Parts: sequence; structure tokens; C-alpha cells
Amino acid sequence: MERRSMSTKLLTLDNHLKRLQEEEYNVEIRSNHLLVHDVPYLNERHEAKYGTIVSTLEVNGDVIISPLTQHVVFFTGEQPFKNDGSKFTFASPVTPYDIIPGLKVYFQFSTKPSPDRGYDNYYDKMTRYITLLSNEAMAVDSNVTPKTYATIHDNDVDSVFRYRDTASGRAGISAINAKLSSHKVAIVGLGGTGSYILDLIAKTPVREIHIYDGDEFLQHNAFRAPGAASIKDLNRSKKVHYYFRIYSNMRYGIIPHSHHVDESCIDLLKAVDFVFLSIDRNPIKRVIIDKLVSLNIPFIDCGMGVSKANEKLRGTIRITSCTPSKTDHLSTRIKYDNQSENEYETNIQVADLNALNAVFAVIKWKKMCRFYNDGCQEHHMTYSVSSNIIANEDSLETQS
Amino acid sequence: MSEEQAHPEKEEHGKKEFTIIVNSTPKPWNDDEISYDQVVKLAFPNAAPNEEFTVAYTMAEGKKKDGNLVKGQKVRITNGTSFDVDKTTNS
Repeated sequence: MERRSMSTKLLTLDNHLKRLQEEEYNVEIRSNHLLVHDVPYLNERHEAKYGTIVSTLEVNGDVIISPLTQHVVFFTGEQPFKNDGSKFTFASPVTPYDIIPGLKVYFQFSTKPSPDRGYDNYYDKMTRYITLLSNEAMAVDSNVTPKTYATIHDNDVDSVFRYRDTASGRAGISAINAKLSSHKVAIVGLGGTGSYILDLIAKTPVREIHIYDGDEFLQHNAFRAPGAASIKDLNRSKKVHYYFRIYSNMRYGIIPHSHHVDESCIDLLKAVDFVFLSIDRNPIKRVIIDKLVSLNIPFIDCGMGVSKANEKLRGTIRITSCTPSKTDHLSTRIKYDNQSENEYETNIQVADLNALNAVFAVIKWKKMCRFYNDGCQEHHMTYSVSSNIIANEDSLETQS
Repeated sequence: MSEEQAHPEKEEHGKKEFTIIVNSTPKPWNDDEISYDQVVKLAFPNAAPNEEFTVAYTMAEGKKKDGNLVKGQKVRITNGTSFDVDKTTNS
């Protein structure tokens, strides 16, 4: 039997989903699908087996939309039979595929309460299929039940995670970690650095993570990205959709925006209280930064420069921070550049340096959130790879 | 962010010969201080005047050993003072 930990947020927000849970069905929401695990059914050999029924879940924001037009479900088990040995005719085989990552379905079920009307809600929809299947199995084996979810529920109804953050609990820092939970952040640019920022921010309890990038996830990106993309992932999907799918395995609240930030949509950044800027040299960067300063939205701008020297690489990582109380350093610290193509222009980037740039940025953000103590109060730092030196500048204390 | 902050002491310039490191390459330097523009020119002799670089230094002379230079600033150097001059514009 599968016993998956589950998120509670949507389940508590929607009464019909909540009812499924309260009646101890093994419900899970994953990748925008509603799953009911441990549904007993009879297979061809008249044996009671368990399968998972999967429904798409139409959600708009936090609002569950009625499944009226979506009466079919999918099934991970074999062809289900009735106790009298006949097949359920509503079940038809499909070419097996992963309906969500790691969950293969083999059958589609299609039956509705009446020919001209679908299901009003997900409770009615799922229990209809569960009952049809499990009644036949229970007739053969009185020990089986679809109501297997008598396990510990997560009482943290506000959690953004699909399962409990036991790392913070084990470390005894749940309260400090909670300081991050009310935040809404944006990551502008999901290149090497931005993708590692997402990797780290996704594991904090921030409420929303808006990710902005108009580019596709290509083969070369995989070598400067956290995790290990399979060749199937290199299917020209947008970066934001690729990362949304990966990180939605773990949490809610990731909002993909499959376009770059420009003048036409810059007001979208008003929805967040912090911005990570991880974009390459680009005229739009100045526009974004001016806007964030005018809106009093704090941000961190990341950047690196790497070049060859004697057939080895050397370079600098930069993290420049801006808060409403410290903006006068931006003009000298942040480099905008005008896309000049000089001999020494390089776009050398390496995953570990991207990751390090991201790590420094996220540590600084956590200092701003009072997660870490900030004894230095610097608003600009560089790490020089070759000399292995961190230089701090623009601390509040030296401001005259 | 004045020149004085990066280089508080204005001493007479001795005619000394130093070796400093610029982007991992040793360079001779005949003064006990160096400015942002001078470091950039050592690193990128053909850089246009409007091009902007992040200039990080370490093992400088004086109280502040490690820091960044911006346009208009100087830093006191000694043998082995090391500079990294990069366009930190990639992500």
C-alpha cells in the first residue's frame, strides 16, 4: 500500500477534497492532479488488488474548479472486473504513460451520473469510481478497504510543502525558518545562477516564488542547472515550465511566467516583496532596477565574469544588494554594459560558480529576513576565485 | 564613496618597483598606489572609456586589505597585491 505524505493546503481549502480526506481516503494532490491511492479492485484472476485513481484537477489560483466537464479518470492498475467475472465496461486501456512524473496509468474510466451531466464536485467524482471498484473487491475479500488514510495528518495547514519540512524540525530551527514563510519572491532570469537560486528558495517556506524567463530549456542549460535533467526533459519546453514541474514535486506556490520582464509587464513585480535579479547584461536591467527602487522593493543583483588566463579560468562573482535604506551604491556597483562585442567579452560560466553566486545571494537574502545574523551589513560583495577572497563594501556603518 | 575613503593617506610617491597581480598575471608597477582606471588599463588596454568593470583587490597595503575599487578611487599597493578585473554581468 502506498502511504504518501500529502499536502493539506488545497485539501483544506476545498470542502469536497477535505471530505475525501476526512473519510480517510488516501488522497494526494501532485502536479495538478488529484490522486486517490489504495483503491481496491478485482483483477482478471479474481484477486483483490490496489490501484490509484487519477483525475486532472482544475485549479485557478487556490480555487478548485468544478469537474463538470471532466468526468473521466485514469487508473494505475489492471483491467478491473466484477465479482461475477465480467469486465467493467467503463474501463478502456490506454497506451501506458506517466500521467505525472513517476506514475504510469494503464486505463481510462469513463462513466457519469447521467448522460447529459457530469460530476458537480471531486468528492462525487472520485467516490463514484472508488465505490464501483472497491465494492467488487470487498465482496471477495472483507479485509480490504479504500479508506486507508488513517495516518498522521500535517496540522500545518498553511504549509507550502507537499510533505512536512522535517529538516527544520530536526535542527530545531522551525521558528527561525518561519521568518521566511510570509515572503513572496521573484527570480528574474533562470539561467545558471537563477536556477540554483530557485533550488534553494524552493526549500524555504516562502509563500510564492515567481519565476520569469522566456527562454527554452536546452541541452547546454542542463549542465548549469541543479539536479539531473533526463534527455526527455530537453524537449524545448520553456525553462519556467521545466523548473515549475521539477520543484512542484516538493511544494506549491511556484508561479511560472514564460516571458522576460520588460517595460510592458514590469508592474507584475509589485506582487512580490523581494526580487533576485539573475539576468545577463541587458538594457532592461536598468529599467527593472529603477522600477524596484521607486517601488521600495529590495533586491539582489547577481553577476559573474570569468576569463581564461594561462589556460586556466579565473574570475569574479558579484552580489549587490539594495534595500530602501541603501540605494546610493547602485550606480557604481551594478554594471549595465552595452552589449559591446570586444575581444575580451566572455560568457564563460560554470555550474559551481553559478551555484556559488546563487548561494551568496540566498544567504544575503536570509540575512535581510533576519534568518541569519548580519554583522557585516555589506550591500555589495565580490568573491575572487583565484585569490579566494571575499571583499565586502557598502556596509551601512560606513555610510556617511 | 570618496577617493579619501579608499586612500586616506596622501603620501609622496616613491620611485619604487612593485609586482602586482592583475587577472592572475604578474605586472610591474612603479608607484605605491594605483587607481581604478589604471588597473582596468593593465587588464584591458583596449577597453573603451565607458566600459564598466568590477575591480576587486586583495593584499593591499594599509588597513583595508580586501575591497573593490570604483571609478575615481585608488588603493595603496605592495608586492603581491592582487586585482581581479571583470565584467560581472553574466548569470
